[in-house]
Amino acid sequence: MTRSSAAPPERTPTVLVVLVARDASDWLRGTLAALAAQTYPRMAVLGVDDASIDDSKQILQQALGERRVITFPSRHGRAAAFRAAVDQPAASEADFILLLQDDAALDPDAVQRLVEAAVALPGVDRVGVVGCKVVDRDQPRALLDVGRSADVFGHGYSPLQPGEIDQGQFDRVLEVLSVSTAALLIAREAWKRAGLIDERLDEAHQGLDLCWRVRLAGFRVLMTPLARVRHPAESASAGSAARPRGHGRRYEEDRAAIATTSKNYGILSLLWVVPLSLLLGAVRLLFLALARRFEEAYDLLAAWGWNVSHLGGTWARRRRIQRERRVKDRQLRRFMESATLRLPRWFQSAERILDEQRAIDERDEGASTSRRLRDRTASLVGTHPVVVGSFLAIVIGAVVVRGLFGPEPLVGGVLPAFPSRPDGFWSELVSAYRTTLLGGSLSASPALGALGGLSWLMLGSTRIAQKALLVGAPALAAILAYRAAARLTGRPGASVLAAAAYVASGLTLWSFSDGRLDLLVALAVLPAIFERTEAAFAAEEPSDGRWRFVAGVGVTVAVLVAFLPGAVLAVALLIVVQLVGGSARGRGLALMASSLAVAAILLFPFVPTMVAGGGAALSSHVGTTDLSSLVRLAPGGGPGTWVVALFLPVAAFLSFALVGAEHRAKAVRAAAAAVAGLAMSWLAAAGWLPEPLSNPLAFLAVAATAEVMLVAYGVSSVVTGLGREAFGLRQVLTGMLAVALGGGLVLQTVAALVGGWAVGEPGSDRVPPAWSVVESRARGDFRVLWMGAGRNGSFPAPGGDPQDVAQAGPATVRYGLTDRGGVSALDIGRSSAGPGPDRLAESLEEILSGTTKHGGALLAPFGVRFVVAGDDDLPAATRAVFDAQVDLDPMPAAGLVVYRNAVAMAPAAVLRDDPATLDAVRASDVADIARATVGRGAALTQVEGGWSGGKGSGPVFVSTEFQGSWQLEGSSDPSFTAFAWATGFPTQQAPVAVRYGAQLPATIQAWVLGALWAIALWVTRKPVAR
Amino acid sequence: MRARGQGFLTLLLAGILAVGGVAFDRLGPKEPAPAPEGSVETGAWLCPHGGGKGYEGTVFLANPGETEVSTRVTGLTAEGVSETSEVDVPPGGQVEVSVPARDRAASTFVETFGGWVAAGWLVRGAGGEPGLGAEPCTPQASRSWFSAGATTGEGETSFLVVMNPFSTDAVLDVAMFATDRAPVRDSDLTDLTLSPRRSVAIRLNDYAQGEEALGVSIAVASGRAAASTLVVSRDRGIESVVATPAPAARIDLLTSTGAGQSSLSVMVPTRVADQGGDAVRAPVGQLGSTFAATLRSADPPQPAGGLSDQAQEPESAAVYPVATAGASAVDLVVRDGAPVVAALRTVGVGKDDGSTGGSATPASSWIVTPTVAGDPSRPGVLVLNPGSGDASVTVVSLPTGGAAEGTAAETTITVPGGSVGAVPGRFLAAAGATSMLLRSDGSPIVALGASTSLGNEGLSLFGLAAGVPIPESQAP
Repeated sequence: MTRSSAAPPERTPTVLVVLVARDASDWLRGTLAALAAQTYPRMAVLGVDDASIDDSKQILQQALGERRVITFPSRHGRAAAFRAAVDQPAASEADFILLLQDDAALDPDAVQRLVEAAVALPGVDRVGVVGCKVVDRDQPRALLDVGRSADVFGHGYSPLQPGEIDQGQFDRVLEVLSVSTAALLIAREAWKRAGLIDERLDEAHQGLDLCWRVRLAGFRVLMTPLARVRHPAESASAGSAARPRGHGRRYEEDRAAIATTSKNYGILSLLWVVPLSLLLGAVRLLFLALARRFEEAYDLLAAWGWNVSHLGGTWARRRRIQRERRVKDRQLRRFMESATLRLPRWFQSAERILDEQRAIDERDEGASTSRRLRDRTASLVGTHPVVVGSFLAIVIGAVVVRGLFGPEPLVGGVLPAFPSRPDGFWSELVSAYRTTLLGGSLSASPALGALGGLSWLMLGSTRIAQKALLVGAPALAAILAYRAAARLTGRPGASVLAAAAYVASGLTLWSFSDGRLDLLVALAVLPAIFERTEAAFAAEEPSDGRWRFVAGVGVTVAVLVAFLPGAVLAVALLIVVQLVGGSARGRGLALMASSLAVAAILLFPFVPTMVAGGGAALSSHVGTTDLSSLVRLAPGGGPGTWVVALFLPVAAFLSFALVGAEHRAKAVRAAAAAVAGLAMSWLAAAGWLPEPLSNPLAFLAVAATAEVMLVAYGVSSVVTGLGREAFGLRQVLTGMLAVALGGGLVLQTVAALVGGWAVGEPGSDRVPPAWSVVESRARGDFRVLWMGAGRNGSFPAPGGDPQDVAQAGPATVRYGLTDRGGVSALDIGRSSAGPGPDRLAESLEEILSGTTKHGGALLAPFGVRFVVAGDDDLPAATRAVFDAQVDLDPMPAAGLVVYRNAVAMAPAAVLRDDPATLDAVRASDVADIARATVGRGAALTQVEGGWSGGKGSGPVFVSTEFQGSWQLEGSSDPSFTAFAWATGFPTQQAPVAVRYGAQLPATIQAWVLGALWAIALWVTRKPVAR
Repeated sequence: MRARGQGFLTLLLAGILAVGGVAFDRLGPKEPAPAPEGSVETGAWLCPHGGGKGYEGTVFLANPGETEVSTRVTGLTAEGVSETSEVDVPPGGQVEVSVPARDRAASTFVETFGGWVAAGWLVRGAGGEPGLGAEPCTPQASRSWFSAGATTGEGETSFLVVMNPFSTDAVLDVAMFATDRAPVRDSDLTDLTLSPRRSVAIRLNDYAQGEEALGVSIAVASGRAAASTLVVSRDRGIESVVATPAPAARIDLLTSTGAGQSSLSVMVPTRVADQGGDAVRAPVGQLGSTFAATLRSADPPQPAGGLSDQAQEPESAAVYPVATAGASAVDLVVRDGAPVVAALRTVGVGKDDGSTGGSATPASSWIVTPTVAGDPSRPGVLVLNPGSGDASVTVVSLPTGGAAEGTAAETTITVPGGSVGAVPGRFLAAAGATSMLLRSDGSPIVALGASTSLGNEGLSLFGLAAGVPIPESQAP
């Protein structure tokens, strides 16, 4: 037997018990009695009273004598008590110190067993710390601690399940990373080399840090089950004394974890642990923020902050620890858990499922293989629909999005380009003027704040944020659809099916394929709105109270509308349906109206943007009048928009037929919403609705959501009632429903797996190859006018969606304006309305009227250098008109029709210095503009707050809507209206700096907006138990 | 009971869906509003007139409207822009703009602002190349051009003048078609790049010498261009034929005044019927074209040159002699097969022939720009009435300085259906070298300027130029 070096073998080691008491009069006598009953012969007890306000001090003194009690006049905590104890001469002579909490009752032989484990285990030497098996004081069969490990990031981990019963499963001496501090035996040499307790840490986490250091110093840490200590499950004193006011357990855990790893890891380990820790922290922060667990997110941030501010102390301790290091980090790995600590829980669930499957196997023994397989599948899906659904969704989703996670930014479809940095979003949000397209004063959508925040959380990468949003939105749609359906039906299985059908619907897959981030967010949020609208008009009061309901729905609607303003039409349609068929109409209307008012407040700078141009922001020029496509919920092409996409409407119809009495009224309302959504979508796409009501996609989203809820109602009714009925039409319909849903989901999944998305990494013709004609032939900033036939449909990438329609009989075109990079995420939710867009529409109509051949000159003031259309997407009449323009040169470009504006102007420039040019810039008559030959000029560069640069001298022109606040730095010359809408300045000497002079109100507005959102989110946060 | 209720609701839902679907299908998408009336009237004329050493060039701009029209006139040569000037054309008047023509490739680009004007050119040779060439300018560029007006017979030199007034390269493929020989597609003339704001003159004799009939086809692979043929001969003077953007199934070619001897050049440029232009459906497997030519004049119509059912191979050009007397017209109609391109060359009294590419479409109103080079002259304007009823044609002069000057003259002639009439010479002589506005109250007409000028009796130089049809929207 190898002896421990901590104690000489010739004699019985001495043990000094340091009992730290704090307000422990209720249980301290028991603890002392247990100490008194110890069988170990060479043991002394030193009591420390940590400024108790009860009789603890007197009890200690009565039991131990005054000389053996150290009294603190104020609270110092266990670490200080330990320090005070070891300062005693007796302590420095003791072979072992037993740190004992005041509520820990030792079994009579506990100290004996601890010492034996430390010095008398065969083949075990250099034992530094020994811990006890900790059981519940009131229920001694319940295990509380059998030693701990930690993950690589310093978070402690117990192998015990909550409430796990002691059945002897841990009854062997275990070498562990750390043990409970309820009763911890530490060898003198160990504490002298590893140091004392880090008093900065919360008491609940001091043990792990201490034991880790002991390990690094070359000692073992053991847990002996023979030494048992009873301890309350929730220690009254543990962890709360040093916790700063307002912080939760997460704060202490993260604070201690970061500090512990910072001190204890070697440099090489820190090189990968720290970045990984930061990354995972960011992910956690994102998750917590998205889940509105703001207090926990704050705790996490505070933990980081504490460690940054205490870096000096941590560094000093680290130096000492590393000086005493005897073992390498990798030697401790076997006592640590992998980073995927959560996996055991999954495995435990899996184990439980397997047990169930085994039971079915035993029951079906002798049955055919197909029968057994069917029973097992039915059991698995029936009892764990969410687990099965989640597992399948993760696996399928991972394969589906496999092509989106390369290093390049995504392109294709109508995916908007993200700015290069997160502050690009915030700058636009705060800016008093629109920095994109034709400028103006229309505020940016608050959605930019969310996009900026997401980008920031993605380590400052807008590229990753773009991918995360694209991939995450359908997942979020599935989750929220599930939640909404589960709330409405109370049936997880039916809700899982409904959620799967939602994600596999033609509309969702088309939106994903096209990179329609705005619509994807709307699709994610709409099921929640649907459910909340049902709740508002239900006979019962909302369960979360009216105020919280209003705030919650207000925030949800605000998020929805911020991304897709037209979605307010969807909300309105749902309200109308409820007004017709709901129960508590008055209350429901009041609640929803209040919610909309809250949403309006949360979007207050954005509301004028929404209503500008007669509500242009509410409309969309993407939709379909093809009834077959409409019913398939597929306004465009792409994987999953084929005929199989009919599975959802078919399943919804069958579900409606099958719905039981418990869901009948809700199903009728859902059916009404679905039918109304489809009808309104068609009417909007066909041009029969007024412009502000024309948003085919918003109405189609309502139809999709309602159909999904019908599926949930129907499946829920089938599951609950079918088995009790005789075979008949219902069973036949159920079979049809199963075929429609099952077949549809499988085939849609196959389509998603094998189909090529319109968005993806560059290549595979996601952007027409001919686009390079535009990109490569021009330097500097310019704008592109996109055109296409008819009212509806997006443009080839990167043209995005149309902004308006120019009606001109057979030459009618939809059109949109983009910068050279294509459609921008900075314009999410923002329409094109104002003098600039109005003038552009006027100019385009002039060209289409066929009376002019100088369309290039008319488009020049808008910075348009190229006019682009899809090859087969331009009416012959329009093409003839544009072919006839003498200053729009057709360019060879396979796959696209491209015209280059021969007289294009830079979007901002110092122009030629002659009276004719100045007259031309000041011209307001379209006829004068048509004959003007202004020239490109010396281009200005767009910078934060305006434009700068230029060469030579001449009038300054900026193709941004005229506002009196535009100023020329260093010049008193006032601006003037150029070309009847833009901004110009008299002749100046370059370089010039054009700046916007009224930023302050917008900045204040942005702060107010931020405060309002903070308040709203705080009000609707998920409560966290402290 | 409950199941019956749900069944009723289901049937109701199915009914709503069915009725809604049918209703939407019948309703259909809303028709878009018609094109708004444009408030900006601008236009352009491309005049690939060519030229030569000592040549004088003139572009006539005639404004039949009631408001002044501003124009920007840009001269182009092989070297680039030669000069730019801005000219205002008064209402009801014309402006005569001298343009550079000392370069074979000389051409002129006219942009108009504030109204519609007609434009036609006239080039007068000098030195060893006496003669007069005149044609209307073409109102727009195109990606294909055809001309049957070239000839490279003995003593004749033909040039293909191509202009690119635009700001991007024009990349051209030129093919030449003749009689009894394969099409000429020379590598020099394949992917020929014409730089922006330049024009070029291609000497066709270098590729197809000795062809009495030489048709030219230009395919613009990239960019846009306009073209004409310029034929120069010591004995037969100068002839200009503006190219047409598409072959046609019917072409009216007017002529007059000459020696009574004309030749009709016909080109069948395509192998396949219905390639642009007026569609004439060819039977499957049909190649080439079968056409007839009718001579119309004051006399009853008769086959021109005996061409009553003439077949011609595809990708070929051929010349057919036609005897004409006085004001007459050759009405070429494709009976079967591919559309064609034609030119009528009339031998002049002096040593200058006249040529025209004719007109494919009759119209109610025409502008005929001057075809005289100076005094003495015998100006002529011919009117073909291809319809069956009489056409009462009002002829108004568009004097220099405009109608406000009070010098505008007006007369009316009646042209019986299917015949050719001439505007009285005295009226034209009194009006001087001005453009003429012709308005028909009856059938649509075709108009042409056919004049002789200079020499002892004003017969030396023969100018033949098709008129410019006025668009319906601009009809005065």
